[in-house]
Amino acid sequence: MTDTVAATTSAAIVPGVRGQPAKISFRGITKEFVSQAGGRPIKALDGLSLDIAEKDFVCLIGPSGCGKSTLLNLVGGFERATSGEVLLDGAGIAGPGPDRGVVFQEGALFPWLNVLNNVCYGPKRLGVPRERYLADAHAILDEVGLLSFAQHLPAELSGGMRQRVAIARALINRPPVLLMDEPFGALDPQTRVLMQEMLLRIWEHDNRTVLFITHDVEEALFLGTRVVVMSSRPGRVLKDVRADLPRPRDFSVLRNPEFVEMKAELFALVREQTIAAAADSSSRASGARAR
Amino acid sequence: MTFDRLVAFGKAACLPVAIVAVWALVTGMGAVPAYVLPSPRAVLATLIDFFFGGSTQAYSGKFLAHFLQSLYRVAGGFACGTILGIPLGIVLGYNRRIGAFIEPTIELSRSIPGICWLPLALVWFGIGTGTSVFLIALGSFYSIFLSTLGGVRYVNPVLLRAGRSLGATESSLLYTVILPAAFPSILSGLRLGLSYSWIYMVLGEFTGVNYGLGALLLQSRDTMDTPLIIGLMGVIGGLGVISDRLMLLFMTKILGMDVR
Repeated sequence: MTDTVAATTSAAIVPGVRGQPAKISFRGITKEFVSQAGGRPIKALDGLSLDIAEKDFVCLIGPSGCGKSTLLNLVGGFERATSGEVLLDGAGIAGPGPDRGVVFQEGALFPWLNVLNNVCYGPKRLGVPRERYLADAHAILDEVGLLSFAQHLPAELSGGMRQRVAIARALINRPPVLLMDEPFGALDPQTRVLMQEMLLRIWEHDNRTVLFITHDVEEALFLGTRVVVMSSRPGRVLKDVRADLPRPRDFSVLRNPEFVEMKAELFALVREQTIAAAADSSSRASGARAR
Repeated sequence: MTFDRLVAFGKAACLPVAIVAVWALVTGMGAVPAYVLPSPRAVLATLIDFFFGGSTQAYSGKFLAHFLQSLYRVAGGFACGTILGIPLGIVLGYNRRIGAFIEPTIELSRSIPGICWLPLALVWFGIGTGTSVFLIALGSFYSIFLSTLGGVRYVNPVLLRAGRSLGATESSLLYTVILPAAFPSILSGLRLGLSYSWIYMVLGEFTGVNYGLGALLLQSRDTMDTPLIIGLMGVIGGLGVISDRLMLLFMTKILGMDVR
């Protein structure tokens, strides 16, 4: 049932969906960061290639510092690769744009705008007529269950409610691609499960392309059509798994034997990489002492 | 007023009440000559005379005349400091490349104490309103400029990314994200600038103008009117507090801006 594919795919074609061009394509991406303190640049990504098909829900997992967020920032247009290219519908990415909705980790709502105005921010900038975006905002706030909080400021909401507003704000522009950078990482486990179910409900309804960053194996398997495991720094694709569990999903899938088996396997892999990352950073530290 | 606020007010009032009590006690015993430290009662009587008249003193009933002169200078200087400080802070905060040309000079000139500008201001503007307005503008400019620059430059980068990914252009980003995000910082710069304005108002009026609270303060030293000196110190301090509250009220209630 699980279809493990090769780590590097050179053509812009996703295995298993042959013939269909990739929605997002990373080709030989290397990203180096120059640290403020000077010294040798740190290589976050090393020649990474990955294709994401349209309507794929790809979850990226890996140890901290493996470059997961960097990949998302490249698609978002917030960062540029040191070498290699990122293609969206076959074209290069010049900068951020409303065709890629982004949900950030937390604290990205505009604190001076109430919930409704946060959600309406995008369509206002894009010149959507007032009647239309107000109707859209009401519909989408209703969908995330926050219609009665439309007039509240972000500071008056709980962490989970704030992330629901952030999702609504990103979705109202109807972006073909949704980028999510550990959006539920700061939430308590109960709230997180409810948020995941809500996100799945929305996704199963519109099937947009999603790139979802997480460090939680269970979350990745629960949400994604595909789970990509990255190595410790410099980040490469270590394993690419198709998660063909039944849909529509709810939390009962957590007891599915296939789910349990895949989770154990991926968890072991991520654990291995996390240990490798820890060993790498301690050797770096001792190297620095030796100098 | 809730009970909690009443309690807080009571706690805050303890020390001032004690100070006035000791002051009254010391002066009542005749421990110090009245020209060095007059009694609280004498200060109060002088202030009432200053506000409402009733004696043959030159300052009797002249509060409004002196106050309006000072207010005129403060308003003029503060307006100049604001008109220069906010736009310059926005431009230099937003564009580091322009900032590299101008910021170091402003930083360097800031280390010259405001009071050092007094002789030059007298040469340029003569005794009177011009010098006061110049010193007040100078004194309020730096805090307004620096707070605006900091607020604009250090906007949370995630908010900028959010704005851009939602469809904001660079120019709409300035009005819809950068300025609202910088607002609390700009407001604190304006409050600081206003308090500096009252300080430099006194300095400017010490040059020997006829009307103004600072001018009267200097004149009252010449006439050794200690009750008036102490009374005016209280009046000038009180006006600073009132103007600060009024500005806060204006910004939050009338412009509907939030202050964090």
